[in-house]
Amino acid sequence: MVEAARTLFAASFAESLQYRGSAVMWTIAGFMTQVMALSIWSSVAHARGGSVGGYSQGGLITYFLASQLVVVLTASWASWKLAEGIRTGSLSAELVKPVPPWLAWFTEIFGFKLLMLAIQVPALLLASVALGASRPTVGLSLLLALPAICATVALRFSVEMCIGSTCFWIVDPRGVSGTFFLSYMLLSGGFAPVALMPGTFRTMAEYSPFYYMLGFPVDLLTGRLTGGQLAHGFAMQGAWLAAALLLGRLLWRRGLRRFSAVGA
Amino acid sequence: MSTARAVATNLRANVMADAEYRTGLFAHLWVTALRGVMAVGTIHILFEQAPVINGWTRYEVVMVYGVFMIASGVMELLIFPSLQALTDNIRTGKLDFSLIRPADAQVIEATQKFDVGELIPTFAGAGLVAVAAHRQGIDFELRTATTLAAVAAAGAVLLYAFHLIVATSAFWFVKMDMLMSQLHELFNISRWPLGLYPRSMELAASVLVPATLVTTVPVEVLAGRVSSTTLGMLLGVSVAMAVTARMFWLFAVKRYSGASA
Repeated sequence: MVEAARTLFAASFAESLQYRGSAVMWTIAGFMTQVMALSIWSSVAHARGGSVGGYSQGGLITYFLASQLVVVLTASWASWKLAEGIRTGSLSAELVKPVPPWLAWFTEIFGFKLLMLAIQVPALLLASVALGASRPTVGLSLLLALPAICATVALRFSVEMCIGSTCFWIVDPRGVSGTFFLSYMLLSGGFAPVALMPGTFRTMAEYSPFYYMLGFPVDLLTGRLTGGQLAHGFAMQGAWLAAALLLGRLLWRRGLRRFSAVGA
Repeated sequence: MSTARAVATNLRANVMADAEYRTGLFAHLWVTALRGVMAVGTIHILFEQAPVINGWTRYEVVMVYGVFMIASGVMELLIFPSLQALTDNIRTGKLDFSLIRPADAQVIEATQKFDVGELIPTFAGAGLVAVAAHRQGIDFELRTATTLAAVAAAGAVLLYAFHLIVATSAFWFVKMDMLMSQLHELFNISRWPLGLYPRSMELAASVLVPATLVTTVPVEVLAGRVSSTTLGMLLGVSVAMAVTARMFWLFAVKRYSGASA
């Protein structure tokens, strides 16, 4: 199975090289989102005399560039693949292959990301120098960002599988995916670092799974968390990951049983 | 006359097709409501840090978001589905069937698809503008209404012309659907008023994404602080874009030899 996964990964990377233009387009779109949030917060910092909630101009730049890095490393689109497979019936063909469909999608998505990373990492480094980002402190926090990013990859992928699996029961997943993405946009830290959120929002974010899909690894990368916060963050991320894995597995199994009943 | 009938027929066919999917309507209602709540939440987070940002207040920014919902609703309702289909038709050669019909091909193509469900966010956006305007304490006068109607019309024309120019490029470039989706992402910039961006970005944003004018100017009109220069700019840009779009379309069709030729 490892061999098959490796082959799929290589095939996906080779395929991505055929669509270089599209990778550049996604890069521009991704950067635009960050530039928009960064610009708005820069205006707020300016209105408050240079900094906002402990974030200087340079600190804000580092935060949003790190966000883009985490997004490109961790985001996946498995829900879309699964929904499409169920709707068109092409999932049946995936199921008879020797590799489970979820693993095939996982390798395919991350094979495609290799090219995105090759484009975005230099672009991010260049942007950080050009815009004057604050240098994050090298230490425990930065080191811990690595396992947090790995957990984020698994968490986002599992949640994507949960969303896609709802299509075993419903035809149009837009209600479910819309609910997810809108909540994610507000509570993940994608638009505002949690440290800048007022009390209620901050508590909501820190107990929701969304913060652990973006904001938490970004806060680790930028060195914003200390002792107790680190332990709490990893415990929460672990709990949400376990919940998402369990729910994903349950929905996938139940759904497949149902799917096979529809003539597949 | 035949053009008006073609539009009416296209519209009727689309309403009938959408009426087939009634449960989708509830999902759409829910997502629209959530979108409004989340946007107001985001604006709340921002304005907890500073009560006024670059001269913009909380409720004015909510109004801009309302206009953004209306504009994106109108785009999804009237403009985007048809122009996306147009790029497909150019690529697959189906455009030939529109060109030989006894009505203006641009009208047939630009009205072939409507996403009627998008009326929901359009009305929700209007509601958001009304509530925020009331909270801001804006008195609505008849004179404002006339200016607002003119600004809205100019905005709609600008959005349509801008997208038509991009879609028409499909006569030369094959894979346009990707670019159309990316433009969509870019349109998100206009959910914030132009003045909220740093000075250095303001001009770039209005040039790169003319939609920022479309969402910002109506709120400036309502707030009673629109300058005649801004109004002139919006009207000028929209007329220029409309003329360019029509000429570009005619030029492209004239050069097009047909898929079967």
